[in-house]
Amino acid sequence: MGGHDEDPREFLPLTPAVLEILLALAEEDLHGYAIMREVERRTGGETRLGPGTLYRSVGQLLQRGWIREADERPDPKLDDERRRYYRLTDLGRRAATAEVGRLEGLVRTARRKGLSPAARPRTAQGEA
Amino acid sequence: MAPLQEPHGRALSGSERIYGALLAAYPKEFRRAHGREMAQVFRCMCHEEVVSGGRGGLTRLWVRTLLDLLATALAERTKKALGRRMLVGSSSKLVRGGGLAAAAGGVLLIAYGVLSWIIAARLYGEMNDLGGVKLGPQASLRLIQEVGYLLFIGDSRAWSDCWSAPDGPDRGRPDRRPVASV
Repeated sequence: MGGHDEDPREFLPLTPAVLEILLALAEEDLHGYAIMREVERRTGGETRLGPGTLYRSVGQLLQRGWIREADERPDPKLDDERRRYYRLTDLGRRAATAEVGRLEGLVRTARRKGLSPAARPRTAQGEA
Repeated sequence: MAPLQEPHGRALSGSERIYGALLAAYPKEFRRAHGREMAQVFRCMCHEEVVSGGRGGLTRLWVRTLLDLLATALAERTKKALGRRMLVGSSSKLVRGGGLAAAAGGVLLIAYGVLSWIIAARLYGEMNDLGGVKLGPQASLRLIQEVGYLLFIGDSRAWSDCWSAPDGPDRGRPDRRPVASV
């Protein structure tokens, strides 16, 4: 394992898959398939992680110390004991927060320049 | 997981076997760390697609999964290759090794052509057994290209392992646990 002492901001911007996984783990521990389902549910099916993308990202996050395998399981009786559950670490939470802050700044700039989806495009205004 | 009726059960088990074999495209370390879970996740995805979308759903899942596998296997192979290059260190060593690498590349290209046809023919047979999924000439050619590419970047020893073991590259390894149900 490496990279645990590094500043998470060094890794920004995060890939969409990494940010989606961090968001999925923000409130509860999940196993791989549950992460995939949560991302799909939250994005209305727009984002679908394949097994390769999911576990490549999970591997990177484990290596950076942003997530770790959870010691306990949500409900052992209701689940397959061979599944690994993943938990967001404090470092991972800081990384996700930093990325969200970066995106917020980007959105603020976009709004200032009239690129917000809520605003009517300038060309359309001119034509109307 | 609820038992599936034929031919869905057959399509499911065939898909799992093929995906298990295709995991050989990833570097060995990656497979050891994540192979079992990836197979488990793919199994869940297949089950869900077969139940909700039937054969069409399974075909769409395969297209998505193959693209995902190709992209991520290539990325992992590249990362591994770059890591090795960093270990070698000095560029002069790399230059001296260039001639040898070119010769090895030529041999690999020939092996690529021969092996891709052999493996693709086997996969073609497997795919036709997937609950009646038929491949047209163009799809067959695409499959041959993709399998050949995987072979080219793949671990030849892992390929020989997976084709000799019915359940894929991880079967029989002491650090492996069986694939879980949904």
